[in-house]
Amino acid sequence: MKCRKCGERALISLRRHNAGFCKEHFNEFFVRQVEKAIKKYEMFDYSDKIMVCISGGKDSLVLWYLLHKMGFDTTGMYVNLGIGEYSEKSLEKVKAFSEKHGLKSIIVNLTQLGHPITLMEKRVKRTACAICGTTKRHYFNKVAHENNFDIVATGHNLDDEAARLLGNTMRWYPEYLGKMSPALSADSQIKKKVKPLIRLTELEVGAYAFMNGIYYIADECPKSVGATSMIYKNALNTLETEMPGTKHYFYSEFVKNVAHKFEREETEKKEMHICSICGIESFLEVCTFCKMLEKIK
Amino acid sequence: MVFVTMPDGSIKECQQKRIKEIILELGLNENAVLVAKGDELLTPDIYVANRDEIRIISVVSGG
Repeated sequence: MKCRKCGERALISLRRHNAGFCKEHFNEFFVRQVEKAIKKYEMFDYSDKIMVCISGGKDSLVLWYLLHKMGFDTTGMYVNLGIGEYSEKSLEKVKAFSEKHGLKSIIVNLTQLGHPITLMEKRVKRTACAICGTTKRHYFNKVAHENNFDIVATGHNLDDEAARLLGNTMRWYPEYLGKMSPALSADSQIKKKVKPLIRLTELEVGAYAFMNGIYYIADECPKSVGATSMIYKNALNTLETEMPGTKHYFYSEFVKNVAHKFEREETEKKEMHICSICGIESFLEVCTFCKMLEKIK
Repeated sequence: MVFVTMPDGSIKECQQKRIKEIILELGLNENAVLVAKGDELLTPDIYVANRDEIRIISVVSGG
């Protein structure tokens, strides 16, 4: 297979674009997709102070690397979850990456704060993934608010969001379908949340990391074994093999034609409060995170 | 024979064939894995030679 742009040997085949690319032109393609997403969904501009949520995985490190390379003002924010060797390895990757590229970072360590995920899952009657999601969201909001960031950027890619959309549609969760946009507007305390990798698949993000020497933690979180998101991703990949472009079409057409209906429903139903314990904005008088913490005291 | 290092570090052996066919034989999905030889990625149309060593990289993350 030849590169569509220069005719050299292609290193990646993108069937949904009916194209192959060499390293140089794949990198060009990749940056263009991120630029398109930022522009189309009016995510941010060069005046914004951006907090990039980092896990040590390929998506968040690629996003951080690229936004920095594009000249945006970025700071990485990493939550050490206290999940044994997995958390130690991911912390090492984040530290090595930020040192190599001279990037600013903020690290929150749940073990030092007295509530690692391994302890919380023993005391709270929810799955580890649900506890982890609530905890990370709490610290993302808190750190962004306290450090006056304008934007919270996450490394969610097209596969992540198409799988989430499929899951939320299969179960008809209107409250979650209302939060599927790649750019969620800010409330008074909660910062604008954006997903600049939304036009790129996991395969494309993985290829970009490989070609550009971005070393990430390849291990899966041990708590995510059997996660339903994997079932939805596998189903979508089967469809994608038969009908290239399905994931993009499924997600982007939902955002374009349907998502706004659920967003309206969401704002009509919910009123925001300030959590009486942590002081962070929440739909409840005491936020879900603080309720979980009360159970481990 | 072609030697294939799987994402978990195990090594499998395949007959010489195209990358696309090796992915299928291993029961993988072409949208879920990258295939590398040394520091270069290989596209599905590449025919791997006898005694080549290739590596499968999983790109799907869950949770």
